[in-house]
Order: sequence, then C-alpha cells, then structure tokens
Amino acid sequence: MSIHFLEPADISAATALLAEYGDEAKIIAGGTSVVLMLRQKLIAPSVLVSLGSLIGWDFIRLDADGLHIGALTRLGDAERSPVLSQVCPALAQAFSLVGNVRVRNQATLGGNLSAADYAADPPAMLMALDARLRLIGPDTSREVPLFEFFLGFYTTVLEPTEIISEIIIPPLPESARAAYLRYTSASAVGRPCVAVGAVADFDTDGKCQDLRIAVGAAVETPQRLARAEALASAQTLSDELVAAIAEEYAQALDPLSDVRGSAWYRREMIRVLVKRALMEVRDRHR
Amino acid sequence: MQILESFTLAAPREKVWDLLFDIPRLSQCVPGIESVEVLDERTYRGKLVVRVGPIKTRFSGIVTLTEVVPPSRFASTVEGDDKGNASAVKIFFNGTLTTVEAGTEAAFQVEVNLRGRLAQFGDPVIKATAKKLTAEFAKNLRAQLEHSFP
Repeated sequence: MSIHFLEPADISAATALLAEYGDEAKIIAGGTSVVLMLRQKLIAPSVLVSLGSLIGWDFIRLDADGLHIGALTRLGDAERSPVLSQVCPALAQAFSLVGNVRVRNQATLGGNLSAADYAADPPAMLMALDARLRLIGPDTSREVPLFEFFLGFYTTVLEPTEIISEIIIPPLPESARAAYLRYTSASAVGRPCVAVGAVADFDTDGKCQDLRIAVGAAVETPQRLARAEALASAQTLSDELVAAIAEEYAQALDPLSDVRGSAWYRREMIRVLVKRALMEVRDRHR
Repeated sequence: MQILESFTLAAPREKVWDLLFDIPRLSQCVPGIESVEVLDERTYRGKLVVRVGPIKTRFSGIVTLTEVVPPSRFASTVEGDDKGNASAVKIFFNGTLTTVEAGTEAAFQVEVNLRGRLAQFGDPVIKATAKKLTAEFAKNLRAQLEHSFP
C-alpha cells in the first residue's frame, strides 16, 4: 500500500489537510515515533501530513508572559539552547535525557507531547513548570494547561484536526529553583521508570512560597498532588517535611506495573525521587 | 494477564441474561464491534475494532461458549488475530450475573493472552483499555435495558 506524503507550507494548510483526510491521515513531525509505528504496521494511514516544511515553529523565545517554545523545536536544539539553559536549566536537563542524541536531533517537542507516551521525560518537568499548550485547528486556536492535556495512555485532548503550535511556560521568579530527576531501572539511557519535576520558590527567610511537584512515567498521566504541595506552604523544608511530602506522593499515586518496574517498586522509587528532588530545590543555589 | 471488571444494571437477572444472549441486540452494545455471525448455537464469528490513541486494531475471531448456566453463569473462549499488525489474542472469559438490591451485578473475570506486536504496549495499557471498554459496554447495556423496559 502506498502512502501519500503531503508537505503543507503553513499550519492552516496542515490542519485543512487533516480535516480533509480525517481518519486516513496522520501527522508526522520528527518521525521518531510515527515511523516506528509505521514500520511495525501498528498504524496504516494513507496520508502522512508532514510538518517538516512549516516555517517559523521552531523558536525558543523569552517574552514578558514567559518562555515560548515552538512545537517543531527539536529536543536537541532545546537542550542546547542558551536561552533555555539560562531560564530553566532543569527543563534543558529533562530534554537532554530523551532517547539518545540521534533521536533528540530529530524528535520535536510537539511530537513528544502529542504521542502521549507515559514513559517520557519532558511531561513531568513541564507540568511542574505549569506549562500550557497552544492548539491550532482549522478555524480554532486554544490554550490548554498541560495538566488537562493528557487523557490516558497515548491519548490527549487534541482533536483529530488539531496541532500543537507552541508550549508556553509562565515566568518563574528569580528566587525560584527547579529540578528534574528520573530513575531508569534497565539502563542509564533507557526510558524512565519514574520521573519527577520539581519547582520551588522561597522567601528571604528561606520559607517555601510555592511548591510544585509532578510525577510522571510511573503513572498513566503525570500527576501533581495539591494536598502534598500545600504541606510546604510558608514552611521551611526540613528533612521531616521533605519526607512527609514524599510519603504523600508514594501513598496517594497509583503506580503501574510494566517491564521497567512493578507497582510496588515504583511506589518505593517515587518516595526516594520526590525526596531527592525536594532536597535538590532546597539545597542548590542558583 | 487477568482482568476483573464488574458493574450493576437496574434490571432483573433474567432480563440481563436474555439481552446478553440476544446477539443482534448485544452486538449493538459491544463497543467497536463491526460484525457478528452465528455459526452454531455455541459458536460465533466476529470482527472488533479497538482504538488506543493513534493505533486502531481490527481483530477477527471466533467466540466459543464453553459453559452456559442460565441465568447465572457462562464461560467462553475467544481466539482472534489482526494480520495487519501480526498480533493474536486468546481470551478465557468467565461471566456471572448475581441478583443484588439494585438489580443485577455483572462480573467478568477475563484472562487475556496477547501475542505479537501489540503485546509491546504491555499490561497497563491493555488493562486501561479493558476498563474503558467495559464502562462503555455497561453504558450501552443500560441504554438497551431502558429502551426495552421503560
């Protein structure tokens, strides 16, 4: 069976093609996920709508309302971006751990999020950063917070005709610190068994003003726990408090079992990793 | 892999049983079913489409009833494959209907053996999909029951 490879010149032409071909069409950006599925015949579209010819969607820009990353930005470019390294090194770190260097030089951030693979690095960090996504459809444009974006395994709120155009990360105060930690059970370069993104802000007395922790890869969709985050409000992050927050995450989340670890094992590792992430944002100076 | 699912229907057990064995009406309730053909009173041939994110798989298979105890219990095996993605499935299905205060509780114990390329998605994905399909199935059964017994 032959596949028609279409290369629209702009995003509205791309969404129009998706509307025209419906179920028969699949979007391809970097192709690291789509090509694997094609080769294994897990998907058999008759039309591939390539985003490769779209110009102007691979930017990393710091605006007054935060950091904007174009959805077609390659993970490798993001990882090496001077802007990103300065504004949020923890996010650059999360990008630098995806797959391997060849994958990162090809895969796009929009593609990584659209694929909604639970065993991925960027989602947990982006969720801790309160990221939002801009979704463009044939006649629509909307913003969706990342925590509302993932619906389940490989499933998102994206309509069949919608494309992610950019990822927006609200500005962090100068005093805020972020960390991304992950644990791989099989090999150092494998997919994460547990991923933790943490962001914390402290006042001049060292009391925690804002804490956001997202756990991914161990659960169907990345999760934050408002109750556990609130424990840190206006508190000094003592070792006891850090342990209590980590315990909340370990107990409240419902980890999954797969080749990278059983639910029991993941629960233990969530406890360890949340604790380490909290200590890192507490102890590391910017 | 074992899957356990249950749901309650606000109808007497006999009515639920009749619906489960009324193949044309039942097939309207099974999410993703494309066709059902009765081969004999214990054997059916069917086609079912299951979607997980971008992946759409179309299984063709044979359902064989191995035990039928009206109106409380039945068991079956399902063997099917999707040649497109070189995957095959064998399912042992045990269903019970129990009278409860709210009507009838339907409980399923399903042993799923998935082989081939689809199996790489692993147990958590299959379990989550089973849960979603069961919820849809229960919703459709409720609609059918309400439709016939207003």
